[in-house]
Amino acid sequence: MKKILYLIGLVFVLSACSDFLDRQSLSELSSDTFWSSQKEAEMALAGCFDALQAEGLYFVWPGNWTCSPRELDCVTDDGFYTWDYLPANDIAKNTLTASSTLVSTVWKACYRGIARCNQVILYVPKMDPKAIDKSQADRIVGEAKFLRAFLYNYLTSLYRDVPLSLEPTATGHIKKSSKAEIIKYITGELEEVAASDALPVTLDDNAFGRITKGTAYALLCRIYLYNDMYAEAADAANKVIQSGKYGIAPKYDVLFSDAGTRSNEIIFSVRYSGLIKGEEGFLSLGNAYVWGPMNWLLPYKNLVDEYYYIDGKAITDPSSSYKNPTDFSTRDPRLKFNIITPGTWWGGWGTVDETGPSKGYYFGKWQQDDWDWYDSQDYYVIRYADVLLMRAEALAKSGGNKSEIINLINQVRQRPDVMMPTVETAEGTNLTHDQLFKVIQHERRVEFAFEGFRYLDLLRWKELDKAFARARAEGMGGAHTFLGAKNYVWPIPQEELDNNPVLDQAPEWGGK
Amino acid sequence: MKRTWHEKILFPIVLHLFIIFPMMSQTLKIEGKVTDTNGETLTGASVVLKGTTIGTTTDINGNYSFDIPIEKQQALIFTYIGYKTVEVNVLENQRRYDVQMEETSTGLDEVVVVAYGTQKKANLTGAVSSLHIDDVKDIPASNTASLLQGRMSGVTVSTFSAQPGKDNDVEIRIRGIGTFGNSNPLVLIDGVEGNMSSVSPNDIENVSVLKDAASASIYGVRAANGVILITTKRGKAGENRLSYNVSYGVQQATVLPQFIDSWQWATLFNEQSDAEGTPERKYTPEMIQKLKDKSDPDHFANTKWINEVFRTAPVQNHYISMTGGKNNSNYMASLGYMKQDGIVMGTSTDRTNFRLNADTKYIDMITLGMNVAGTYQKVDEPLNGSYYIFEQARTSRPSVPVKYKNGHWGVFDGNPSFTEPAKNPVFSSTQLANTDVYKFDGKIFADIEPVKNLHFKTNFAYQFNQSDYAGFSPVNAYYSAEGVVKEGGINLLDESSNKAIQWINENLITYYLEADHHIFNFLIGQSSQYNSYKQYRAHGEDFINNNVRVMNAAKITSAYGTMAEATLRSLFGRINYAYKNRYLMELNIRRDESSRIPKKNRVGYFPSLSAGWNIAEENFMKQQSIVNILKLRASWGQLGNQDIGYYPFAQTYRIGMNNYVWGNDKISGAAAVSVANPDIKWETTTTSNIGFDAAFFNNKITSTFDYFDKTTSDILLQLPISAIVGADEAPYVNAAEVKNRGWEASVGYNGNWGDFTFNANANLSHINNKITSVSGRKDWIQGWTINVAGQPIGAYYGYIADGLYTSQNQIDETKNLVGNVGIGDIRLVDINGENGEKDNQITDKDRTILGNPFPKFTYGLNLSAGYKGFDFAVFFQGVAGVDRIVMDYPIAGGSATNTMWNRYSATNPNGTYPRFGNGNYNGLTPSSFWITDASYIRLKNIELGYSFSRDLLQKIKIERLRIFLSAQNALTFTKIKNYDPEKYANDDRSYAYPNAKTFSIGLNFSL
Repeated sequence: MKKILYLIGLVFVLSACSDFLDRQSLSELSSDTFWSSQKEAEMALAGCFDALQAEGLYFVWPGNWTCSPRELDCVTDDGFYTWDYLPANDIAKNTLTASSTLVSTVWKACYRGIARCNQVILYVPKMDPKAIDKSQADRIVGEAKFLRAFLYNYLTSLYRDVPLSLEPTATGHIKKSSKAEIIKYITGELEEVAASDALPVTLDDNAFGRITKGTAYALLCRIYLYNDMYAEAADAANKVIQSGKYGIAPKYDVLFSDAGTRSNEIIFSVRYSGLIKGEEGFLSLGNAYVWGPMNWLLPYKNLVDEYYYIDGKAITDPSSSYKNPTDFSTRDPRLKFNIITPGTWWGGWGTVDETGPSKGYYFGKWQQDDWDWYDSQDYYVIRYADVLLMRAEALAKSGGNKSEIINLINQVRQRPDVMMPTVETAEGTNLTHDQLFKVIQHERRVEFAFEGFRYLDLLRWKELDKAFARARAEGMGGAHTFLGAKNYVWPIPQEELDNNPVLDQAPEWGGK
Repeated sequence: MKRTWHEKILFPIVLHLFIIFPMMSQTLKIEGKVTDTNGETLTGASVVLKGTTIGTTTDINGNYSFDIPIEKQQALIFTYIGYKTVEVNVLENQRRYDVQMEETSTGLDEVVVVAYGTQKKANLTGAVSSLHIDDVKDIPASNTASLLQGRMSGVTVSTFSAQPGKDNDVEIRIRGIGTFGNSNPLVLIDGVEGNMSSVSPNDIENVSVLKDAASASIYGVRAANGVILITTKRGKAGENRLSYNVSYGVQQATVLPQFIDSWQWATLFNEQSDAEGTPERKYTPEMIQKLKDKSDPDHFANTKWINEVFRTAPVQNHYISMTGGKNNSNYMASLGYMKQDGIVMGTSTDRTNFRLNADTKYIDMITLGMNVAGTYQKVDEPLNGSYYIFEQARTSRPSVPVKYKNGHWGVFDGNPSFTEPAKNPVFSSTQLANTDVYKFDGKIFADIEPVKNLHFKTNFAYQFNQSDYAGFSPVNAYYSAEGVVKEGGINLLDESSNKAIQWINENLITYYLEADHHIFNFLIGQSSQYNSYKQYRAHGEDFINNNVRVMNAAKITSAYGTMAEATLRSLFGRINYAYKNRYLMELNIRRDESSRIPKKNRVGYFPSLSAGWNIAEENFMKQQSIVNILKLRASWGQLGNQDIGYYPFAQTYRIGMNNYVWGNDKISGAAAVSVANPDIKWETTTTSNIGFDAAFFNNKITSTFDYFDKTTSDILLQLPISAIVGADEAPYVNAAEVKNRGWEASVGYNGNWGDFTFNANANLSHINNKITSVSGRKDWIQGWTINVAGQPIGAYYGYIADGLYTSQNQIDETKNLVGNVGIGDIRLVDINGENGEKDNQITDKDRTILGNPFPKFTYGLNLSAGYKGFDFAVFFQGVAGVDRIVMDYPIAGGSATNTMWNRYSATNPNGTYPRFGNGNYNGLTPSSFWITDASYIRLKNIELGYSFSRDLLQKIKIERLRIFLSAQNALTFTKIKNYDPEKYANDDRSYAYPNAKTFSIGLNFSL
């Protein structure tokens, strides 16, 4: 009897031990111990780069949320959608609203990246100096500032005025800042990083993909140009050119394959590897998904016709020797590199014929005619040809040296395997700055087709109305009704307005 | 043998109170038979000589015999749980005493299973519903939760899908929902936290639902959503019985959407293509002609996909059990087998389960026992789930044939603008994924009674659940009608294994004290609980061929794993007090500590207090005989909720998922994907309840009524956060308060006229769910719903629609800034603007409350009747005052319903459904256009049985033989067309997988 009572007592006592209740996460790293080594700081930085591989930024897949810059090209006069549910198509169909998947997906992807950068920028400088070397900490913070500036530039290009969040926030309740304020802040910060020794000038092989001084100046050039700050843009471009670290790749078609990813023309790219699970790229996806060339995004004939005859003249130009519309071999070679034309042999599918919605034209850039799902094709974000043309454009817009402008354009069109006639030969001498600007516009369209530049170029040039008219004339791929100011700014996502009480919708979309 | 659950539970205990001594003096043999009022024999009734311990129990035929010493003025006491005690004087010259006992199932002796024990219903002071197990015991149910639907007031059950093996897809709500997170009640199977799907419906002896805080607060932090106590059957001494139940049924969808013909669909598609500026994709008039005249079925078919993937499917249930006991040892062993094909092709399940419950009186002082149960279940479903098949059937083009004449699966039609193959749902349903589920539940327990009425009870329970999933997606060859092979893709294998382990140790001390008219029950207890969860996933790609489906055969593989654990430690106590069975009181308290809550807030106390007054026991009520029971009850108490993940208080950095590539190498990334809240604390629910129980006219009419007010405060929720925070997951915060207020009533009637018996049970519940405050923000909106003070959780929210735009005038009149609209689009109404006044434009300020996602009323009505061997039962169940979204989504991507055919178009200007070509605006803009009253009444069960006469059966030594026919979900009355109305809140009805109606035939047999 007593024994039983003792036993009962024992059971009650035993159950009182205290660490039974203290449980830590078994799968994740806790904030109590994070930020304690250089390794962890670099992991957090990798997390910032990873944010670029998101739907809404540089991830592509023919899925419900894919809307990378390349997808945006296909709401313009460059191309169109056949899978009409894909989110960016709302622009072409005139069905864009604040509830559209497009506006919320891009918004979320950008701010997710910005939030990760904000963590690195705040916490890495606070780390114990014994845990991380000062120069390494500066480099990591510099790279995070680069990525943050990059994302804010993209956001302001699309949504114009957005909240400027610069530190980790638990609520995100931040008012809009004007586009000008944001640009002023991020360029100031990035100029400081680029001028300091935080970033390296060159990269070791195993660091390829990270940020250098040259990358920072290239981005600065783009931000300035997108904001009509021509002197600053030309200056930043010049720093890239003067660095001597970059050049024009000799072969255009090789550049847009796995073999081109390490070319010195690539200044900044979002990295992928088909050999690493979770890091695969899908830029070349076509055959494996639809048994033929990629068919959810298709080029307009209008883009095809933009490629000149080999004499450097537009095919509509009466002075051109252009005759045979089915002979694509006598056109600007970039046509065949960028677009699959009728009569082309496409492995595994056969000869492309003129059936289908695009009458036999398919995008060829990035594409491989194999059956692989995955590729190691990096998504190029800034390449040297872009820097050259950006400087040319900045000079043309600000009345700069004409012969330098022409020289810059010629460098791009006289890539060894392109070798289109020089500006002097094709378009002539004595061109006005305005005419040179038109030449640059043409050059950008044919050089960067399907790389995700067209939509943003049209926005900053305020030429979306003309592009819509050209698309409409094609008679397919969306209504393309030009709606005025509404077409030049995206609405802030309704979801964000609902969750952020201090935020107002853009005036064009019913806000203040 | 008519028996109720409490007889079976309490009988062994009662039996032990009567210890049979051999008789030394001169004796007299007494014998007889005990029957109930219907003449049915009562097995195991106890017969004792008054004032002694001499006695026996009746055998399987109700007979008894035993010897009594010869003395004057003796009497026999007949007792049987659930029946009124009978006292008979022993006459000098009479040796045989046949006794008829009257049932008191609704009377004072009825016993209810409550937390950590049982209690006389008469002494209950909390709100507890018990399932009338007799009403459901013969229903051929494949899952346990569905048995509860509509049977008890205050308990709402909705089944999400009729897919076999998805028992967990059942939503059970007790008195509404009081939280934004997990609102599932705590389910305790023989006292151990578990899932309803792990107990076979046939093994269930009793189900009690603890609805108010007074009855549930002893379960503390797990009890906020109510508690369901399931007791499984145990063996009884002297009753060795072998039973076999079998049923076979066929199932069909309750309702399927009516799809229009393919030429009609093509017409809609053309209208959409014109509107969207893609006329090159249209079906030409020649193509439409072919769709109409069916002259080229390979290219221009008329396929009603929904009819191709739904089928009539069989289901069969077998259950065999053995129960009995002797020499103070009892056992119950059962084996069940269920095989069910789903109404969607490719879905099926196969389940085997067993249970062994045994107990023995080891020595006088100590009772030992164990429960062991196990389940193996195999679930087959199409890759990506059956929902995917339903979705494909809704969105695939009807112009594509199921198969071409060449025998290959159809994926192309004759419109050349569609170059990618269509999804063929019939083909998809042949590609299966399977899940193997293994469950083990074990419990050992001891009950030590060192002194009379003082018990020390201890138990240890262990639970192991594992489910292994494997889905192989082969490389598929696709064909056109011309037989051209298009092969592509990569074969993939996904495997995952989820393992959950739980152990719990409970130690209780109880003491029963009776003095004069005072009765006390004391309980003090302690428990420790540990839960862990581990998941392992593997993914393989590029297999040698489609036949070798193991990871080793993959070219590329990758693996993921995650785990978590949680602990809970508790102390609890209870005091019951009754004076003369008239004045009742109960006091509970529980102290919980949970690892899920940060240290500073870790301890939570959950008290409750309740009282009752049995008015009918008062002397002044003894004069009358109309009211048999009248009891008033009142209670107050607090409950908690800890269901907020494992470590919500710690800021963590996710690793392994946010990697990048520098150089050629993978760089492991880390990212803060969730935001932590270090100040998180318990969610507390406070419930007040008043009610009464009454019985009239010799217990023929019984009724129960409760009014409750349940307030949940400090609700833990993840308020949707601004994307600027950059987290994938919002932090949990204690932010809101919700009130559920309502009443529940149930009325029962049972009567008999000669051979005819009749029973009726009806229940009706009303709930008013309302958010009373949301701190930190005014409201939050997610798609179609809003959470705002003054409205129910997840109220439908959007624009008020006034039909369709029928003229350009209407479009120009009020500027619509929500979308770009044309004639035939939904016309929204301007009700508000920036300054709270109409501003003649439609902006997000014009949104308002559109509907209520909670049924205002839920009800059930069970009627049963018997005549001689026949029994008949019908059971209706329904909800009223609830809204749902019914849309059909106005996009002509694939099949279209007859509702969609009535769209606005140039050729159909009087159409009432929106035009095609602006689906994003019409479909994605929440508006009252799509909100429908979703009330329904459903004939849930109808059953006719026949039991062969006992006299006949006894000759062949059979105890019971009954055959029956039954139908479930046979009839439904609702305003919703094309879709099943029954489903949980916030869901578009047009995407709901319908329920099944089942017609069964079966047999109950026991020896």
